[in-house]
Amino acid sequence: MNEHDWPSEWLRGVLDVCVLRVLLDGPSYGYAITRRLSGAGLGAVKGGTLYPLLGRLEEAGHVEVEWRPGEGGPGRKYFALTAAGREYAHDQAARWAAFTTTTRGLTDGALGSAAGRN
Amino acid sequence: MKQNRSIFADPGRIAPSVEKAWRDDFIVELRLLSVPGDQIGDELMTVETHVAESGEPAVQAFGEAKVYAREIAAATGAAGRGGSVGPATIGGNVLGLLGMLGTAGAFAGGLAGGPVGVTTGELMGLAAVLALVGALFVPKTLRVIVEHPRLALLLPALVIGVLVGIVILLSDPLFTVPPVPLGVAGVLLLVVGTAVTWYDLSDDASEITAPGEGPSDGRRGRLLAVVAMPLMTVLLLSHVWLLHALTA
Repeated sequence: MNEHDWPSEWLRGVLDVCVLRVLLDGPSYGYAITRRLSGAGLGAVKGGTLYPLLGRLEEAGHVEVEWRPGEGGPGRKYFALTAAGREYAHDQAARWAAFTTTTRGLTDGALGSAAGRN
Repeated sequence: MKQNRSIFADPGRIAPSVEKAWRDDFIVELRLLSVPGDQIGDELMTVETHVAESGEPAVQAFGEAKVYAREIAAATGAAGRGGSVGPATIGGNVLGLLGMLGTAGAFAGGLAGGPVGVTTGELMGLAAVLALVGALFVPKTLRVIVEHPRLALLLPALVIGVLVGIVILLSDPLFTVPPVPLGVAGVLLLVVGTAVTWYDLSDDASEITAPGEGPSDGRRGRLLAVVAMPLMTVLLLSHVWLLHALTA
């Protein structure tokens, strides 16, 4: 399936857990996070969607922010998981896995019937 | 590094890669939401770095500036954390205005050599002016002015016209006041109003600063804001004196 075909409602639901997953690999900045998400097949995530999400995570104490000087350009705002944020990220990933297992238990039946039709 | 930045420096310097119209809308909306200056600078810089790295125009990467400003202010909980108009702001200006009018009235009475007659029209006009001054400091009024610039241009002319009409029509003296006590009261009100304004501006956190950038030396801006009312009083007194000299 083409990545541009993902319904926006699905992306909105999964974006939090995906961003948390990216940050589990270490501190990162906004544009790099969007590149990572795009590389994973989620499509282009706009700054207008990403930064409010990061802001909510920061407000909830899951993420902390640090400005680091850029190379000849403006500095970069790095986002890093706090200890509570790491725990939250693992928990969210586990819950998402359980959720997708549950939904696939239901929807995978449609794959079989689709194959039977073809 | 020593910074010679003025308090009046263009906040757009923080985000030179962002289109001016988008940047201005973003800043104004965050101002109307009472977001602190350092937080506005942080968000501006965030947009700047993203736009500079992605090569996308701000409107493409972030959508409409006002909508994004509301979203980011709500997400970060920054709305309402900045300086807002409180009793000290309104009180300082209202006291200063009363002091200015009282001093000018006393000066005019002193020059004429008699008590100062106060008319019904003047009292009604004064009440209307005070109400308008108070309303100007309410964020909702500021939003209406920002979003309806034509109304903001027409309304003051209409209000001034109505006030002048009231003052002229209701010109019979209601009571009189001796010029010396009125002058003393006017000067006292002016001094108290100036002191309240100075105090009110002492913890002002409205200056937009980039991350890592300290506030500029705001003494000049603060001083200008504080001396505005006494300066206007001096100008008004000069005007009264000039009119008296011309008509004497």
